[in-house]
Amino acid sequence: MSKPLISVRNLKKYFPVRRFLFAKDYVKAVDGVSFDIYEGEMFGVVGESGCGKTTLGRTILLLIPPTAGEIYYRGENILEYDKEKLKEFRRRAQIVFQDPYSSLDPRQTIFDIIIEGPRYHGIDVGDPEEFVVSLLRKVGLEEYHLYRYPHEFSGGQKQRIAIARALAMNPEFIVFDEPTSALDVSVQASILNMIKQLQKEFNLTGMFISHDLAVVKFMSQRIGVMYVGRIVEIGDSDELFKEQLHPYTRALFSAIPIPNPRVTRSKKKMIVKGEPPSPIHLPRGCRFYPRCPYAMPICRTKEPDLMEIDKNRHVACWLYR
Amino acid sequence: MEKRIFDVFPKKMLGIALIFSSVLFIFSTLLYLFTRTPNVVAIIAVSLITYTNTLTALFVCSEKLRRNSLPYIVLLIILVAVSVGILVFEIYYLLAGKFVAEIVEPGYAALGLLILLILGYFANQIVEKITPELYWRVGRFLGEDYINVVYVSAFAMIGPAIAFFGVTSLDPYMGFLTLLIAFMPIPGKIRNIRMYLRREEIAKTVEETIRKWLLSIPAIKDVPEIKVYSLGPLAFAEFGVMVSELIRDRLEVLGDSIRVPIVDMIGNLVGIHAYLSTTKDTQVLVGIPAEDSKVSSKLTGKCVVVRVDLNKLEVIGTERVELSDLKEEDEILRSLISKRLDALCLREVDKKIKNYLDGWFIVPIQIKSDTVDAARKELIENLRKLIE
Amino acid sequence: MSEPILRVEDLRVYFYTYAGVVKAVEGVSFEVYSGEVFGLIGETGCGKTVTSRALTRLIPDPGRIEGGRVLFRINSEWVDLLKLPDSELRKIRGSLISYIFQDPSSALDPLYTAGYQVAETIIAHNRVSWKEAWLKAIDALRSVLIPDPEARVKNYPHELSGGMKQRVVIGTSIVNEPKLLIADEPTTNVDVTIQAQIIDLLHQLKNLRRTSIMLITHNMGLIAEMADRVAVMYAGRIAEIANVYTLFEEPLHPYTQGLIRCVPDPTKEIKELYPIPGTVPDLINPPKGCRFWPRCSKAMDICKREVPPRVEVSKGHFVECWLYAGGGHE
Repeated sequence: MSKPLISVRNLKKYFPVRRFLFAKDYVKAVDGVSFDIYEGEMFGVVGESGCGKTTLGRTILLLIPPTAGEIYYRGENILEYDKEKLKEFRRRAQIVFQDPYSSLDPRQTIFDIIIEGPRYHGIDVGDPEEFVVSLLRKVGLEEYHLYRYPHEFSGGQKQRIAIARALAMNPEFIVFDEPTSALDVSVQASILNMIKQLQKEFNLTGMFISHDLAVVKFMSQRIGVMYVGRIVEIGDSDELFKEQLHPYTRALFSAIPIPNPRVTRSKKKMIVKGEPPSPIHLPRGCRFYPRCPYAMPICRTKEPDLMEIDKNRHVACWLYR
Repeated sequence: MEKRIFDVFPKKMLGIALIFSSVLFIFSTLLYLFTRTPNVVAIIAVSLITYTNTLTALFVCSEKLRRNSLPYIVLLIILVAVSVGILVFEIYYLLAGKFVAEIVEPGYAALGLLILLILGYFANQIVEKITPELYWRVGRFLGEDYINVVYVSAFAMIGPAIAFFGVTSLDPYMGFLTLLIAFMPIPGKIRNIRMYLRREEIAKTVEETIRKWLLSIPAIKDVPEIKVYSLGPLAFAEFGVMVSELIRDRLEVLGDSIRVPIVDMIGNLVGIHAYLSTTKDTQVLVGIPAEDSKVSSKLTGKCVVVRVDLNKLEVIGTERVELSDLKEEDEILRSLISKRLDALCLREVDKKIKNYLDGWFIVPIQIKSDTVDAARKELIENLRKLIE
Repeated sequence: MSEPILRVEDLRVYFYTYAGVVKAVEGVSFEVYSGEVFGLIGETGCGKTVTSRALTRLIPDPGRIEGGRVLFRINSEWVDLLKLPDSELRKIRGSLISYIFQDPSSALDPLYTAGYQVAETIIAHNRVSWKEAWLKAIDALRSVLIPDPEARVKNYPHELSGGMKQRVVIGTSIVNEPKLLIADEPTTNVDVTIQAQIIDLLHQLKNLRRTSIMLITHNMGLIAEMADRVAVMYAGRIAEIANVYTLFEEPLHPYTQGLIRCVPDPTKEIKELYPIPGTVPDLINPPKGCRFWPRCSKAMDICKREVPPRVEVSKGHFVECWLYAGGGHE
């Protein structure tokens, strides 16, 4: 079993919201999240909109400063890093964003966009043009794309450029934040294949964030399910799809329409009533309590922590204490 | 066997709130005497108002005072009347032109008002922050009157501040604006007085809500007494709960499971004083999952429900029950609750089902019999062992 | 047996832009039957949204409907919606044919309460008083399973969650009992668990009221879940029409086959997805002949020269592809 490359313990990110004068309420976007990501694996994070998965991705890379908690990289708490070590961490941990249209600077050529990072970090890449061209080829683009501008490319090609930019830093860890959600299915397929292959080739560890369960299953070895700022279940992709323990995970998985009419129409759908709670005024106890078909009195009183049930299965639910 | 639950809003905190109110009251009075600016008069009234919610909470938390509520209403009326009196007094003096046309020391007045504003703000924040999380709604309630101090001070500051920079004629008349703001909490306080007059009715509604919720838990057999004391916008609940002897070892957990939801459900509850007692003098319902006369190894929709007299340990009735026609696991489990089972016989104990039963205080009984008749005898034996 | 309520014949919609003429919809024909869910799938730029808007002439400048007929059955008579005078068409739009769009936030006016907006739709098409319309609005909200509708009618859109807003939009669309409900990506911006609620709701509406639903989406799972018959569009043309099971199990058109294979099915162990090479063509200068030929692994000479005719390969299963039209060789 490999060691965790990244370990997150009780991570919190709260965004202040003004009530009056200087009084504040807080949007608890990430409210106490803990998990490990092992070297060489792709860890998937799924959840619905507002569950905090995007905030989680950015906080882990310190693109947003965390409110509380610890983030360990190779056993060291990165929140205690000095400037030098932080810069090194930032080189080794990259992100690919969802929106290809806004994440590339429209005023820079592809060459500039990709070489910018290595230049800033003073990485020796040999001949810069050759370096960028070889990266472009790796992501399925051509040499003649080198001096074009972002607007000349399609959405799928822009994402390839974004991935090349991340790879230029020779990273160890990449966070993919809904990288294909804005793309057509046929384009999505080739980008996903490419990410998988690059992951193997460069021995990358990754975190794949998406609301699309089928895509996450295809890309990840282990999956964490998020609900309103907390992780409610973690398990192996295949195992998780075979059996879900947490009632929310069950509802989520049963709700996804499978692209296969015979299977999806015979599938029993667990229709969950109601809506997720507001992340500002969270109810006491388990946040899924108001919608949970298995609710018990204790669920209303105390919030369950993530518990290890089996090897490779963690659930945050009083049904499994 | 008996267990007490006692959960009350911390009086220490109320003490701190009282200190804040007193500081505000004394400081504003001194400020007025020193500067003679009519704007500050409004603040004296508003700081008197900040006592009302805190005193309400104190009275409700005290056992003697919540039962005899006369002192409460008298004090509340006095506070409100005096505040209104002060404000009316200010109107009269403004209209009669009896306030000095030029204020004394406008600079100190503005500064004093600024201090009052900051004090009021901190009072609100601190009171909310030191409230235990369980009572956060009460905390907001206790803090809200200090916000009036903040607003009124802000408005009151305008006159003296302008006077400080030379324009002295405006000050007394800004007093009218300040007064308007200062009157704002009054209708709310009058509503509180009216709520007090309706206290019996309000208490009855809260009692019903609590009773209904308690009885929704099958293990709770009866709520022999319940009394809610309502004083204006706050309340205190005293009640007793009767449970079957079967769960005598779990009274502590049951207590925890009910006190938090009750305080949560009823936003203005400032405390609970309750006792849980067990009894054998009751009937319990025990479920045996069975198809026909054979005991099922898994929990399906079909069940035999046996009524047992816990005192005599005798079966006094049997019934065939269809737990749920949908056969979904969560549906079946929920119907155990709606059918108010106290115990469930199981041949195999699945961890998830056991946790669910435990969560709802339904006793799982492990049995080996495979016929219903044998199971009946076995379960009586098990019950006997449990309540010995 | 179901009978058709909508017949689209050879619809053409062009957009006259500065860059050139975009031939967004180029000869689209299909039928929708009463009480069925008719799916229209395709990727960006395939023309599915434009087609759906063209049915009731909701095409803005610089677009123009350049040809074809849109026959709609009203009281056992066929009426060509493209030839109807504006005043008549307006009576149909919002009552007999109504729409649900992708973003519920933009469909609702933030300045008016939910109840007002539903009641307004009722008043626009019926001779009733405001009081009656208000009561009907409450009923409409109840029928879309909004809890406590008497309270919700007084809410403004910003006070409602995404799922609620979508229900209000659906409520507004069904309150005048349409024969045809056109839903354009109704669940794209909505969470999976809410999506399940809305799918359930649409199922109930279809079963209770025999409303036909035209479901426009790029989400293959949604189609598999809801559609009875499906038309696959590519670059302004229909590639294939079939019943949903046939489409997923025996797709004939190479584009359909590509589409099915590139969507990950979580119930299967997949090592690799099969993307469709190339990109969607430029509709100002689309490829000659079959518009899919540049990306088709099975392209033949004739595909590059001539538009393939529609062939009914088996009952109800139509394909526009030379592979099934004799390949031009015979």
